[in-house]
Amino acid sequence: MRETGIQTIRKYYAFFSANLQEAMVYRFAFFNNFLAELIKVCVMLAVWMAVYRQRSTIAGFDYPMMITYLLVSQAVNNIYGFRNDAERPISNKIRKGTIVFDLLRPVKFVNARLAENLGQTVFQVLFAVLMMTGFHIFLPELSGPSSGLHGILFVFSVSAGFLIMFSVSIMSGLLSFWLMNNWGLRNAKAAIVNFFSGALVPIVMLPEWMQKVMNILPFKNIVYVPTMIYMGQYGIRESLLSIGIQIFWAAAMWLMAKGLFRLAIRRVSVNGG
Amino acid sequence: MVIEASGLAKDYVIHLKGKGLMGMAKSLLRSEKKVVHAVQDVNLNMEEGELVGYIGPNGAGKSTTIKMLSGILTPTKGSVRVCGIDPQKKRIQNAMNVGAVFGQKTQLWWDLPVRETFDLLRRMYNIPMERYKRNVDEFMDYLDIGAFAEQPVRQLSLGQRMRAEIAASLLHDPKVLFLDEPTIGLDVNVKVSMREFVKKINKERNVTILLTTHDLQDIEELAKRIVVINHGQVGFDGSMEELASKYADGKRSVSFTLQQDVPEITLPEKMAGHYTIEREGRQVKIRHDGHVNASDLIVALIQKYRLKDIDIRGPQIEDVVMEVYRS
Repeated sequence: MRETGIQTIRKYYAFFSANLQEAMVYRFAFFNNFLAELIKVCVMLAVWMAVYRQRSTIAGFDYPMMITYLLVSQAVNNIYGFRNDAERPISNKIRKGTIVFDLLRPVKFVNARLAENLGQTVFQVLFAVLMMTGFHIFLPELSGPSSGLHGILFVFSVSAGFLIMFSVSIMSGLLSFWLMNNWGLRNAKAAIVNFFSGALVPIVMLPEWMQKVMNILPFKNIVYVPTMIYMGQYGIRESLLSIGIQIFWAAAMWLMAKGLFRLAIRRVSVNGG
Repeated sequence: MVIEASGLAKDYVIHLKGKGLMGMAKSLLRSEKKVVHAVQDVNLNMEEGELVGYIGPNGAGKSTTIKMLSGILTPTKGSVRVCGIDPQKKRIQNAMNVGAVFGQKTQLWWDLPVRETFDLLRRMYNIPMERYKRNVDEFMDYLDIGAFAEQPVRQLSLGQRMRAEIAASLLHDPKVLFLDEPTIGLDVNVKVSMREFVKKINKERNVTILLTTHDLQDIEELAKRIVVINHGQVGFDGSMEELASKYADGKRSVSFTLQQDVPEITLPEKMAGHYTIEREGRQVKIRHDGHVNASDLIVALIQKYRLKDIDIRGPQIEDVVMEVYRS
């Protein structure tokens, strides 16, 4: 008995809607998060405003560009939800032992986690849009996508970036099978991704050797590339090429995550009883 | 055969942490490993519709066995077939055939109402609407879930939650049900209704059930066949009666109160060596083995002494099991 495509989608949709409903229960936490992120962005804004009072451009970025880069990259960051990361549920499942039920469901584990994560992401997107709209009112320097086409390519680029980010998180989460507690790993991952993805500083502003390192790593595809596309820093051709590279990384990381899961369940030892 | 397991074994590697601060620091660099043989050479075959009580002391390897049978754990050695398929290799296919309740863990979504969880499971298992409705109605009615179906799981009492858990495990009409300590921590009423429910689905739906529990009443009422595991090995596999006759020697007793003081209780010659007498004033308890008939014993006593509050006991499952665990 082979299931049809619609049945498969319905299966995973169950995880998506479960997560969305759960997120709804924690509306208060959501607004809290919203506030915390808002404060963080304001602090970063203040820092960059002070920097730009001294000079008019840095590495080809003038003040309005920097404001746009900062806010767009932070919005993208929030869509991925560094807070509502994909690994926390996994390490919780492992610590509490409820992973047994996940292994008993007729679904692929990594796919189910993706569906779940997308449930949260609905909120994150809403949050990012709200944030951008809010800032747009107060900061006229913040500009929209450089063209309609760039806007559309941006959406594709963010989607690919989301998948890369998700796979990175899943892999770090799956390491809980070996580590039992991955709190430290999670923080390390957040720091690495934050820096290497260009979420803290535009990569062009960094020393050249560092840029070379970052070009080899997949992380810049998570935040930097979509933001540059949004700003029209990449032409259409370059944008399409970048999205192609992103898709390559997304596929490669996805396969790695799946492979890691296969390794992980082979050595699963379930906690307690 | 619905379940076939042969030569099943599971080893765990445990990393030992050193004692104290220094030891801890040392074990960060190099930890000592110890291999624990949680399960060794377990053979277990179950026919369709069988209900097997799987018992053993804490840490005997019960849960580990169940987790290997359900495809959650990879056996170190041996092979498992559930409904003809290898549950580890074909995890997803196997998932459609089995349901499980783990008394210590929840499969319900913590923040969602029970009914919502059921609906999510419907979609996850692609349960046809008709069948789903029929099952939900039947389970809700029988387990009295309707009263709290709209409450989020985190607000439920343990008894309510466990009733919802067992219903959730059966929505997709599994052929095999694993119940790992489903009655742990439940009050008498809930226990009784859980037992009735398990009995009912085993009978009406011919679901093959493997039940582990520490509540021997569960075993007595539900399981015709008992498998005892101890130190990772099967120590007994057979019926309740066989278990009793094999391990119950000296586990039968007659207790009574004497109506007057008697210096010493004597019993017929032929019973010698087959009984022991425990006495505290007028309270007497005579333990005897299978060679002595309780009725003969009482007849012999009544001829000599005046008794009241006579209490005759056959082998108690607790005693039997304790005996098995000890051996």
